[in-house]
Amino acid sequence: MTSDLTTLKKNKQIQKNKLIDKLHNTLIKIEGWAAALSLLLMLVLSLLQIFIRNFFDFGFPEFETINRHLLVICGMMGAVVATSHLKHIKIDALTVFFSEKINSCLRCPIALFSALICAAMCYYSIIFCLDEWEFAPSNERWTLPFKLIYPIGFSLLCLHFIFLCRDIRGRSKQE
Amino acid sequence: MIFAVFLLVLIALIGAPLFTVLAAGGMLASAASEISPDILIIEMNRLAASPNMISLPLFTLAGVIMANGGAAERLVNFFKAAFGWLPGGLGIVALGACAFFTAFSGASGVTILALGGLLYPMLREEGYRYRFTSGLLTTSGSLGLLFPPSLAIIIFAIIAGVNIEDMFLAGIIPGLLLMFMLSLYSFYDCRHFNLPKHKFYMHAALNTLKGCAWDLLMPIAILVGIFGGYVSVTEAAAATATYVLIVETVIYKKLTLKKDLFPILTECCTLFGSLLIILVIALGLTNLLIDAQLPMHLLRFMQHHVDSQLQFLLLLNLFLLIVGAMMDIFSAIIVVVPLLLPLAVQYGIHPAHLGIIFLANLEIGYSTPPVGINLFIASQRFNEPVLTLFRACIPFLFVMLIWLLIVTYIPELSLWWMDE
Repeated sequence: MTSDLTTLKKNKQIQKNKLIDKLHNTLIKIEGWAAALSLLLMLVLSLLQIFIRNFFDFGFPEFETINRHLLVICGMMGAVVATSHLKHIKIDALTVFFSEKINSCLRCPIALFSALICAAMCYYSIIFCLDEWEFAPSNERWTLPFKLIYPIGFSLLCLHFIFLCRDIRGRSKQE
Repeated sequence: MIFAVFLLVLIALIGAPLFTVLAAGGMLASAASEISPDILIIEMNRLAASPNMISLPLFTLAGVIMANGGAAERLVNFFKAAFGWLPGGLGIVALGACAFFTAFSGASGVTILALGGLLYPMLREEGYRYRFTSGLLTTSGSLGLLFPPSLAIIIFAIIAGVNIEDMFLAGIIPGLLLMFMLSLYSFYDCRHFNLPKHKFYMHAALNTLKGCAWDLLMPIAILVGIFGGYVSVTEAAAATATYVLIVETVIYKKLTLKKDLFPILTECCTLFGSLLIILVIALGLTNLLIDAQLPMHLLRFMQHHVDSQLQFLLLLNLFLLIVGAMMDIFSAIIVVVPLLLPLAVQYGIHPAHLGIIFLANLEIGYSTPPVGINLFIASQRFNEPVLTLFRACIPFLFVMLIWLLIVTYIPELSLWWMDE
């Protein structure tokens, strides 16, 4: 009876883990698409701008504004994708001197530290967005939704660091 | 406060993502200055509005498309046919192809990955010794850093507030000088290798030139476009990315839009995103440090201890070599440049010259332990231990150090374009 209960609990845990992994992978795919599409749109708008300016002698200043916001979306989403693939830039000059055991012990606290910092940055981004909403001149209000990329980006970064920590713990349990 | 800073440095050294360390530093600095930390987000937003920033992802995209397409092979074929007949010619071919490729790929290690696998067996089969081959290919991974449209130059220009076109011009002669010096070394060292002699065949050179004419036209088009006043840097970046995409998908058909475009765009965003987030957060932090008058304190300290420009330049080189060995090039530019720039200006060094000195030092740092990224990538690519590769790089690094001294103490090499 007890062993059945344990197996049931284990199965439930496995299913839960599978669901989380599936959600995680879907999230990574969506982030990749968002980054790629914003870059593609940035390229298309830049080319359109060159074309219109050279052939029709005028331009859309809104394209410039949209491009600057697309740059942030592309950058933030790119940073999120880099984090999910563990491709972020780091110095780690000391890790080469440590054994693999010490390095693996350090990974989870580092991921937690990073998650904490990203959560704090997300909080300050929300304050920034609220301030912008309150004080933005009426002709710039249409750009405000773009600024949401800061809290969204930092919250996704935070989430990925938490996922990373979970993966590290899962792996160390398996070992 | 000192303890917190020490702790953050330690966290960075044990492998925390650099942007989180910088963000933590920014929050700490804003708390010390009694300013709300949302200033960091305001600075991020301000930097993103800087007009030349859009050129960064677009030039990166051009580099990534080139790396994924067949440009590496076409360029090597051409350089081999054109310069392979020279004594030590294949070494010179490797230098030329790597410099060309790095200028576009932004010295992110792509050069060693894309060209290393192609050039390594070629050089070894020809009879080039192991140490020469691995040393040459490892150091060549960052060779085109001073040529337009290198990302490092663009980032330096944005951070230092220097005109990007001026920086492009400033890098050309020092970059060519380094190529020349390394070619001379390649020629000198290869005399002992008993290499087979090749003849120069005009038709082979012309055929391979035809094969990569579209690739070779690109830097010329960029230079003419920007310096001829036809396009801005951002427009040149958009045009270059589109041009490379058309060349690889329509002309050479090495890539297909359906299969390759999305992975390429994602790869580019990953590269750019990991850079942008550091760029924007670091700038917020350094602005806080500037508000706290840190450069002024540094300047006062330097004025007490350093009397002449010569002395300052020597110290600067020593400092930057250490920085280059410890930090990756982009983070080094972002963190160190705002602090060094006012000092350099006070000692009468032109910002563009400072930029070239800065990048030259970091170019050397790419191949020095403990964080020389070229060493790690080459170690993965050639399956060799990092220290063995470093030993192989030493003669090349020695040549580069001589070059660094020349570039540092003869500012005219970087500032030839300036009016008297």
